[in-house]
Amino acid sequence: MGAEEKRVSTTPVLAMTAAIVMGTTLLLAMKVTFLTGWRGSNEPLHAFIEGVGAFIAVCLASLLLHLDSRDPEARHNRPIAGAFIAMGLLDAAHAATGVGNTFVWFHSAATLAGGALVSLVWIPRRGRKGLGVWPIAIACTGVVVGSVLYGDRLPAMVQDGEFTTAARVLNLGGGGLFFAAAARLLLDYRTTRHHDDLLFALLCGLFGGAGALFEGSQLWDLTWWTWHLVRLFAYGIGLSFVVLHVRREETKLRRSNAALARARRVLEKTVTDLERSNRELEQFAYVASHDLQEPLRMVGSFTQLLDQRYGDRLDDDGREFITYAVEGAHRMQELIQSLLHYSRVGSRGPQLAQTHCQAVLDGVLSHQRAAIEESGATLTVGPLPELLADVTQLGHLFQHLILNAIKFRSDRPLAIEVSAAEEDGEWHFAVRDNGIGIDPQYAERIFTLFQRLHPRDRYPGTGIGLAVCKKIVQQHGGRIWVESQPGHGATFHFTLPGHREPAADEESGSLTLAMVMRNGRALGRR
Amino acid sequence: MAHPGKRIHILLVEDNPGDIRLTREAFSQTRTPIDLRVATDGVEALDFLRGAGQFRSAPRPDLILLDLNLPRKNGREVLAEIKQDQTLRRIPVVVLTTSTAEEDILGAYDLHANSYITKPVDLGQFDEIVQTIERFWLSIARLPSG
Repeated sequence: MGAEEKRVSTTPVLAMTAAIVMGTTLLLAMKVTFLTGWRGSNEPLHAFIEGVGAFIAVCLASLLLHLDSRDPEARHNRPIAGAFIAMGLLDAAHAATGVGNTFVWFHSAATLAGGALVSLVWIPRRGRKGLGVWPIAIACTGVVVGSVLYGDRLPAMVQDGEFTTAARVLNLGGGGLFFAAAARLLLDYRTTRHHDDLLFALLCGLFGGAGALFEGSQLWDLTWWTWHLVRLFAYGIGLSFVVLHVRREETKLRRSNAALARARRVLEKTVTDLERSNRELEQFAYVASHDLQEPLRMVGSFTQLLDQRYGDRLDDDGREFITYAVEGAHRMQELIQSLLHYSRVGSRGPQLAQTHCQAVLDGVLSHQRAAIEESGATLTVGPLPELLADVTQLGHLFQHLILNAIKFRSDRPLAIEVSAAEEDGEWHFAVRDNGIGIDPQYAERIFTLFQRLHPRDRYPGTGIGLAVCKKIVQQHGGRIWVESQPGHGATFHFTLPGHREPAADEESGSLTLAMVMRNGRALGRR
Repeated sequence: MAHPGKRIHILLVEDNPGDIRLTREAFSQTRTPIDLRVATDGVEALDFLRGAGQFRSAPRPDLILLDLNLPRKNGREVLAEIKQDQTLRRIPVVVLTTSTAEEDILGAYDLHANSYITKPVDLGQFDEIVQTIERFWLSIARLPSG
């Protein structure tokens, strides 16, 4: 929320100030003219007013301290909070004491302490870094306790029905310090235009005014009640700060909630667009590949027919040319089939079900029994977990990795090891072989579509196996990578999440917001 | 049951002339004498089977080879209609097509295709497939008479 909200018009504050000044002037005029001798003795009312004020003071102090660390624009929270703690404690003691010397002492001490602490706003922030509120609270409590215990040692505050010089010094001094603080805050307001600065300037001004009014007052007279009202008003302003603050926080919350809702709508729309784009792409890939096969078959088959029917009329070169043509057609068909297979992987999203990985692997091994026996491989399989996965895709994943291990074996007797371990809520699988290994500089490239590291006549294949594996793993929200050194075999690692909420739209298995986030996380890590 | 020596009638439903020619070539090498008729789209195929219009005296085929990608009525619709027709559904229909997609295979069997074969690129494989079709459907399997 911008600081603009804090730069509010000064009109309400000026209006309040004017009202208070006029009210006070009116009351003083009444005192001076016809109510000079009026005394309104009412201890319960007084205790109530001071009690309320003390309570507001302590609440305000807590709020200011709480905000001090969180609001970068708050510069004077600590001195003001300190002043309010002191005033709150001492005025509470004042409210609780019966009329007497200690009674006046407590209030005068409160005014002086408050003024002294709040005038610390003049000291630059660096200089008052160590201002601790707890020491102030403890000191004031000490003063209260000490004053109660040693009440007779306190300086005289009242003599012959009038306030003594000591009392007047304390109150006027405190009031003056309040005025000084108000001046500083007003100066700050002129540069910062910070609404809080203006508010607290008014607050300090009112306390200063109350201190000044003490000068012409006597216990229970009109002036005496007037400055009590002025102080109550000041506390009321403090309360308005709390209310304003709460409203500000609410607005901030409402705004950020709205922004969050907007962002979420945008994200959902993006996901919908992405889903649609994915579907279109996959359909395109499917249709293109499918329709490409037919002319390809024409080229391949009729070239072969040519060879069959008229091969004997061609010389060696001619027959060789035909061989290249036919091989080209075959290879192209393989590529198209591979592309189709790749595009079909997860075209409808993984169909998740509780899957026994052991059973899936067993299925793959029995399916590939011939290839495995022919390679003479020894298989070691560790315990495999049960988790949420697409059974078909998992089968393809295992199959590709096992067939790769068989394909790229070395002269050593082939040993393949499949294992799984749980790590951080994910299942970490490893398929290790002792084959020819992979140069680490190609460790990322081999997962790219159609990337091969060997010439075609040495090792067959189109180079999509690992790209398909990567797509399958990513669709499940996992990662896949390889650790290998040339001549020392290879270990293919992949992770599958262990626990997962089923996708919201399980039937169509479409990409959901959750999956996008997961894939984004998976992509980001690798 | 196919009597040895008796002419076998096969209806090939295929729109691609190259594929028609290849199929003819392959069937020309079979032992059993085969009369291969061709329909180049789905509507023509059904007219032929029902003996409609110009096909009034067309022989009833002993076997149908059906491509799925046809103009006008596509192969799936032809298959459905054949297998829903009381008189036609006894004729074995072998789907012979390029697609290897799981959904196409399932769809064909769901519509009661008798088998599904994918056309290979390699000519040798294609010849072998045709010979296997001949061996299985025309020698080993018993076909309904009439």
